[in-house]
Amino acid sequence: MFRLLSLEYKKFRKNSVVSILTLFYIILAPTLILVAKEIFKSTPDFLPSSNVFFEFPTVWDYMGYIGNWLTSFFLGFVVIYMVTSEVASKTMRQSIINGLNRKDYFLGKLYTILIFSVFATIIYIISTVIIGIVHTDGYDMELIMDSNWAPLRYFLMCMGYMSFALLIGFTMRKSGLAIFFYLVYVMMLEVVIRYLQVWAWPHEAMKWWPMNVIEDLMPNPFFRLGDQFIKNEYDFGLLLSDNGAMIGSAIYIALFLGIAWNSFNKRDI
Amino acid sequence: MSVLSIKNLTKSYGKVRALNNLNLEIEAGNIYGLLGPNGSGKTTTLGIILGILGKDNGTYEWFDGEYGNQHRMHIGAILETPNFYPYLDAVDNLDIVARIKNVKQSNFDEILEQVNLAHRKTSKFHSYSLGMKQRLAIAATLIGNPKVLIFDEPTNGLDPQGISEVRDVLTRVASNGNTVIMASHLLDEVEKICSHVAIIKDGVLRKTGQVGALLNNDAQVHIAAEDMLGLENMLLSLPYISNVVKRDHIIECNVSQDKNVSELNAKAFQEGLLLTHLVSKKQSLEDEFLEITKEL
Repeated sequence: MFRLLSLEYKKFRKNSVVSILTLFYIILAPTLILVAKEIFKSTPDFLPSSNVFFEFPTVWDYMGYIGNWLTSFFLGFVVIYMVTSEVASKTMRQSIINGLNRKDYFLGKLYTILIFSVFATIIYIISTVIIGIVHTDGYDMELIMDSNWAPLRYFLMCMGYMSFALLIGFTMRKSGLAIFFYLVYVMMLEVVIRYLQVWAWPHEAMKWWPMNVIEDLMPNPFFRLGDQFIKNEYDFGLLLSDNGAMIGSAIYIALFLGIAWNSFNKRDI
Repeated sequence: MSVLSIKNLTKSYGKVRALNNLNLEIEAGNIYGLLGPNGSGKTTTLGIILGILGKDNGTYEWFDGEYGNQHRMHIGAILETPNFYPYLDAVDNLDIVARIKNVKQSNFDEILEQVNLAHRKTSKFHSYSLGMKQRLAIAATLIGNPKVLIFDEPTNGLDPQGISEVRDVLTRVASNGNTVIMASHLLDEVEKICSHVAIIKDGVLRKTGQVGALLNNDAQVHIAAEDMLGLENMLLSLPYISNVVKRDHIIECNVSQDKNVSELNAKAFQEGLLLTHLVSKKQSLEDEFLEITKEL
């Protein structure tokens, strides 16, 4: 594992695209909520106080939701780039020619997204705890830890987006096409499909589409507030339960990685 | 000892059959030239035996299966183009190759010296000329002292200067006693460097063997005299002359390799024939290649 990880590190440590995107993530993940605090001074009507964004335990949700967007965008792009740039420069095929077997090549990418997910989760935990401690009056450990497995959900969310990006990278291979499809699918296509499904067949199956399952690991906290209203309207809520989202994500991650491996292993390089 | 044994290898791209039951044996220590016209299946063959292309049928085995799945660790290969990380310098790129091959090597100066790139070792790959890129690729193949070296069209796209540089490097590398497989269009080069050739056309092996044995070593002579009929009769009577063909005002024939063409001149003089034209031509690999690939 260490050999493959050090190989990936050696390949990309001087790559400006990977460095800039990762740096943006590292800077924005902990600070974006603080920037928002300065921009949006007034509290939304349905919230008792804007402090809810920064206090334990709700700070876990708001930081997680920001991380949701940042991960899907920056880290998703990084992973797609790390695969498709190797296709474009033919270093993927040269790695195999030089002696790396396909399994090790794939494992190198898998370990990389695993490490990215771990570090992203650590950034999430550290920045959330610091922001929460600074803004919460009378906090204690019980309150800090009242996160409903948020770090685990965040880790799974990172793995979910990045394994989907890995799948897109390995199957589409061309960076422009892969990034376009990834963006369109994550941002629009699945949302459109889900709403078409609700229109044709209003059933809670619409919650189990892959990006929705991954997004529901760290959903928009405002949706949680409105979910009861939706439940009354449709007999089912918009959001999956935390456990449902975790189990569903784990299944999708396995599926994405399995299909990506199958595609990479069987095709000519 | 065989380093590579290919049996009945078949590969199709859609309806196009690139390889058709290809059989080939590569013996250790030889320098093989893999020849064939464009689209004959050379690169496909190399792609399959290097693990980047799948095969439809057939088998291939490296080193008699001695290294199992690790066989590519003992091969240094360039396929089509030099493939490196454009934003890394020569040393970083070679370091990646060394890590893949599990070779502990921290100093690449010696290898870079061999390909005359030591002075540009800290330049990024994208800033290299095509010739320098090709030389770096050759340097990468030498990492770990592999048992087999494979070069696919190593001088493709290079200017005369680049071709000359790469030719020098290849000649040096080939003289180190490694098994070398070189696919090339430059038949003159293959003839100079290679000990063996394999000629492929339409995915089928047409001919293989030692370069010397493949070439007809008889000298081909173009000869003419004022008395063409007398000359023809003389040639037909000589035991060391074969393939006498009359064309317009010239007769083509082969002179046995143990005879000197000047003896033919002396014989004609003795017979009272005044030669007006006498040109000797040694058959080249190019002639043989064109003959083999044309006749099929």
